[in-house]
Amino acid sequence: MKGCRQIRGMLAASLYEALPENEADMLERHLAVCTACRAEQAALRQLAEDIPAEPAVFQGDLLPALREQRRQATRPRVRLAWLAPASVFAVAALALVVFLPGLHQPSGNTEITGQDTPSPLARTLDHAAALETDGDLTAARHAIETALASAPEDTHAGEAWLALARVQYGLGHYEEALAAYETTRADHPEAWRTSTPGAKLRFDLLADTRDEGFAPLVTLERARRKGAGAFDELEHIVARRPESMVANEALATMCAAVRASAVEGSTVEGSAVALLEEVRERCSDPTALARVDLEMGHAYWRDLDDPVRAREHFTLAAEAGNEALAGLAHQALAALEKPAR
Amino acid sequence: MKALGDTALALALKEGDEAAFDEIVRRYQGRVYATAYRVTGNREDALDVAQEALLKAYRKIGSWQPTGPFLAWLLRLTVNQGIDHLRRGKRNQHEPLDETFVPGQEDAAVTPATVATDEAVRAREIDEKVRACLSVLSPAQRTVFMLRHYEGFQLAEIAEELGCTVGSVKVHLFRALKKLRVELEDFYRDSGVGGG
Repeated sequence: MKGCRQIRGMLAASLYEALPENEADMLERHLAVCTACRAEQAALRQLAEDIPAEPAVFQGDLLPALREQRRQATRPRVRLAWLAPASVFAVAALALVVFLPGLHQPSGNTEITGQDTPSPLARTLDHAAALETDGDLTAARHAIETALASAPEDTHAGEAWLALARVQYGLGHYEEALAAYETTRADHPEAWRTSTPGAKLRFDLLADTRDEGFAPLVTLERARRKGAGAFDELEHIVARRPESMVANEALATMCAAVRASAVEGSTVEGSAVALLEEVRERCSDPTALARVDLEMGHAYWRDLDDPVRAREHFTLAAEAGNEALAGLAHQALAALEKPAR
Repeated sequence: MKALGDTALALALKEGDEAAFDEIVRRYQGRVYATAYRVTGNREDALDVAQEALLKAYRKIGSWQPTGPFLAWLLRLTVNQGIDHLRRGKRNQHEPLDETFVPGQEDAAVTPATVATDEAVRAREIDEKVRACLSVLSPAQRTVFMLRHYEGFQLAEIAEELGCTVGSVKVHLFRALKKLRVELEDFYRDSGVGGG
């Protein structure tokens, strides 16, 4: 028979929901012979019944105030912590959702908002979104290009250019994708301003790798499709130019791969660091290790509020011998010493 | 957008769909406010915390994993935001006891009532003591207790949200209840109610 310590969790759970049959039997047998646990159960039941559970009623609307706050605030860029205050989880999560299918998620007319007037181009965009969902990117591209050619001044033109860029990206036509994003930025600034973080990230990655003929991006996307099996390729991207956007995304993908294969049981509070620890364990290149150290410093600092451990990792990154990383690490160390963040 | 389920809605926000956030606010602001109220105990702070929590959810949606229930994540974030708010000391004052708190009638917390039933006073006392004790629970204990007791989440759902086993959740729940019971020991002794 289980001891008192072993049945405590069951005892608490039984106050709220039915236990699995084996646990219910175990608890019943224990309570039949244990006076202390019976008293404990009675006391906790009394407490659970006494604590009011009815919700407070809210009849207002927070949306107008939140819209205003969102309008005033710039949404965090999808970058790792040393570039923006987004946790590695945020990036890793986005990588899982957005990047594994090749940074390509059909989203219909949701790239921008606030243009609800129906138009022929808007209908084409809906059709193109359906084609994207079906995986027929070539047909989606053809539909958008044809519609744009016939209605270049349509109120949804900016949205169409964004959709075209996304489709071209999905097809691996990076030069054309970049051109479409640049057209959006130049000719449809409002559409660009309200475009999604995903669109801006795609643009940043394209711009970041243009001078190299998009080769790092090709490698990144190929590695993403391969998943955890491409860890070495991803590490190589990180080590080659650790301060770059594409390295950020490679690291995020490494985190996502580790997280996807993680064993259940780690706590949420500790998992950002645990995730990076695991990534660090799998890395061997000194520059990649330093890049992970930089990220771990931010995880300890921002997520766990542990400046001592943060300082240790920033210092490791600063001493690793990569000039760009050392500069970033010293910046982080300086920021760490400031009294208020 | 209204037809989307919670997960699809959260995924849309994750991809940057602003309209998804609007729908999330419409759908959950009442739940978020109620949770914030439970932690802070007054209308003004609850409104602040609810707004901060929703804005934080907007900014931090990237950290939500679709393996767990979105609402549990949002409410956990709200609880933590409420605790932070109290720790920052913003208007952290309890109402005088002659204002009757009637659960389910949030305005009662700011509108003095003329008649306070014994039952209402007792509920208010327990509520205040529990609220005061929330900050001494560990984050995991607090989350498990709030989501299970107040929000009715199944322990398995909470385990998904916390990324741990159901067995761990049960232990967190036990420890939370045990701590609360100890905090309320004087109350039970003085009122002569309940055993233990």
